Amino acid sequence: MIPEPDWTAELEALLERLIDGEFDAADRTRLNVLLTQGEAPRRYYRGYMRLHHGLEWRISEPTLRQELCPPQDQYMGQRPGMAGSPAIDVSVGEAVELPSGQWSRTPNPEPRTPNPEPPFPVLSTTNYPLPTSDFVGSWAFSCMVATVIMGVMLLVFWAMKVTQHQHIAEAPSQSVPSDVGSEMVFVGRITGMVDVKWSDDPHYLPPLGAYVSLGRKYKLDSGLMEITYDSGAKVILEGPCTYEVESENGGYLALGKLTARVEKKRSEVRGQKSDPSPLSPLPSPLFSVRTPTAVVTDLGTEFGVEVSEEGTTTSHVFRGSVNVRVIGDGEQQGVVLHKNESARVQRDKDAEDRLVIMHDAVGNPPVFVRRLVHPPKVLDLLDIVAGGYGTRWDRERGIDPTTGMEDPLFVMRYGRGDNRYRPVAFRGGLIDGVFVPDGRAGSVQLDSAGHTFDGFPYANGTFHGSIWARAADVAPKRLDQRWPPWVYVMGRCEQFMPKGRGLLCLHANVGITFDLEAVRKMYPGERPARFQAVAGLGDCAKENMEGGMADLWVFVDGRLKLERRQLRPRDGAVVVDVKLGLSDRFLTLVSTDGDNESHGEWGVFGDPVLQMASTESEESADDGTERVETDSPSTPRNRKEGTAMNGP
Amino acid sequence: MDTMPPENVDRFMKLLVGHQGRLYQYVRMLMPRGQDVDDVLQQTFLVMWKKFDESYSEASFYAWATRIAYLEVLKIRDRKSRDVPVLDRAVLEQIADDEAREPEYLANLKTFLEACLDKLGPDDRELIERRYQPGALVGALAAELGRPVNSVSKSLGRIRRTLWKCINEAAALESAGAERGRDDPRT
Repeated sequence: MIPEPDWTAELEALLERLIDGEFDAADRTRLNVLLTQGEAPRRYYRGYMRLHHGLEWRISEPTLRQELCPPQDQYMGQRPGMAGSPAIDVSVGEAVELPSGQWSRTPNPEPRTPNPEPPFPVLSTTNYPLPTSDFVGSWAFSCMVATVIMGVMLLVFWAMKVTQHQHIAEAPSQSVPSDVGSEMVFVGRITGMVDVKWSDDPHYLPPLGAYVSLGRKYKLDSGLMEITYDSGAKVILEGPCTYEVESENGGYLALGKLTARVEKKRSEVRGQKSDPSPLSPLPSPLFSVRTPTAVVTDLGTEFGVEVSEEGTTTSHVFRGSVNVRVIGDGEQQGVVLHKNESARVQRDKDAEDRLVIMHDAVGNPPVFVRRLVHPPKVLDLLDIVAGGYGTRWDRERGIDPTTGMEDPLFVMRYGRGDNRYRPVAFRGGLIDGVFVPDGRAGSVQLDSAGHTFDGFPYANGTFHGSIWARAADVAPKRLDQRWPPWVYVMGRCEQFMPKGRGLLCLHANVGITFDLEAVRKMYPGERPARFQAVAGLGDCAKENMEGGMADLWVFVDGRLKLERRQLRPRDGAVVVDVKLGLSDRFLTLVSTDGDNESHGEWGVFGDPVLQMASTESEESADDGTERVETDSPSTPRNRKEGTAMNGP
Repeated sequence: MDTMPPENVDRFMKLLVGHQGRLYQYVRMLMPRGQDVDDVLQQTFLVMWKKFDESYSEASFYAWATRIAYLEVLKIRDRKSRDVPVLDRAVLEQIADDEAREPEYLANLKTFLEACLDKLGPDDRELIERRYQPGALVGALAAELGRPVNSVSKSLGRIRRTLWKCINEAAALESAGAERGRDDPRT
């Protein structure tokens, strides 16, 4: 089992970009993921940011204080209060902690005059009504607030600097000019380390930072280290190993093992062209690994390379294909390997079997480490609705189905939609949007790709409360109100959460769509393979209400996968298990009213999760199969009245 | 409360000025891009002023102030919900919780920072000082130095990492010293 990764280098690199302005949306997502992985990364964040802001405060503050607030003792006892108010002598000097030598005692040539008017409204940028009082209008407070606000003005400058720097950073890359002379050129970053022990070779100097420069050699006695090239290629070094970064598209593996995974990034995403790797025998910007006996060139793939102490190179392809060229062979021997194929190149030029190809080496495949991070096996949809990334246990938050905005508290109100699909701009992009389905309106948009469905029932189009991620256990304080929300008082709801995760509460008529592509991007190499939940209607008999009736629906890219019409609480639990295909983009869950009434339609998807699978280990499951099981005697009714239409 | 006995004002000012640096860092930690920090701090101070009473001790003042500041951060996030903040709400809460549980974490960073800055070489010291001068821009700084922006950024990152390492070592040493002091029966 691979131990937990060392996140320090990655977090540090993210924070450096945040501080100096190259921080983008992907960085933001990754930062938030890292900060949810335990207290230790957050502690690191707190400390590192405290250092940065401490520098801001320390270096800029004395200047500001000199300008804004002359030395305290100079005016102590001379400061009148506001008109009509007594002066207050505030002895703050002894409480102020300043670095030695930073507080100027130079007398201010211009004695400060009292502020004739309260300075707050002038200084304020807020819309808050400001109280007037002796203190608020006093010199001391205005000086203090002015100090703070001027400090903040520095931040505006800082933000300007960020903008400019960002502009520079986003300009066409010039990071690898040919005429840089002795200037260090960075081509990537260290993005993960696990138990790395650097070589104790006295002539070897281990790297100090996370940035990877051309010519940098990495000598590991043990452990794992991941380098992410600016080109998008990722290399995992497995100690003992010696690897030198020779270009922005490759390196030299002298000894040991590495795994390379080449993601399409720069040329396709940024529209920039990379220079061809000088290592590659092929005239294209392909990633290459040179060894003492071979050059292994990526042809769009993931592959492993191992160099033994004898210099023998073994290459194995996990995905795609590679070109393996023998070095020092006058005939330029070479071969293209495909998935699950391996090749071995011996150092001995005269050996008859210098290049050996092993097709379908499934019996005894070379062992390479392919990931530094254990991918999650299950993504918790309640956590995602509550603001997480599916790997934690966040609960008790929701979304307003009419705006897509976060509801930090369950908002108990009857509402009506406007037939518009509402994107959800937060939640790390894992939620595509929400909506209020109304069959009277005809086609209802289900996702941002434009898939629609026109088979929702002719209903009243109202909903009751937030789309809500409820914890399995209800805290007493939730019930300590005159009219506790329905999500907390429904009876017999344990049947919907046998695993104790909680309930995704969808009172008719609401819908929510999860972005499966965003999930795949967030967890590379993994994909949602199944949606699983236990669905049904909460029992409201305890509340002396007549049981409601609701319909529950599940769509994938607008295709109807599950339809349960006119469900009642007595129908019990419906086990939902929907296969998801490799390229499926959106998962949509909908609740509609089954009887055109608006009471007791307490639809829930209990324990809702996405079962994850490796993208390599599982063949396409995109067979369109709906798998619905039920442990209740009832059978689906009124199946498929409507038609699902694919969007553009 | 718009009026306050002079002795309370004195006490409030002492506490506030004594903690304003940490409070600033706290708000910046929750709002790392720095936008709207002025509104948050100003409103925080006003709420504190209105609610302050003499019962707040030195120890509880910071916790109280950070709680108010945290709520003000949430308010401004809600008001400006179109802006995507750096930190997600859940992360924000966790950081605030962490800070509430461990308010003393690097609270004396300022002391260590001074000593660590002194350990920097003159060139590094000058570079980091210039970087944090009011209105300083990395691009302009790089132009002044005749170096590529990328290179200056890397240098700044390296210096910050050096400071970070130094501060952590100093904090660990102080912590170890305190432990020894507690274990020593003579103290």
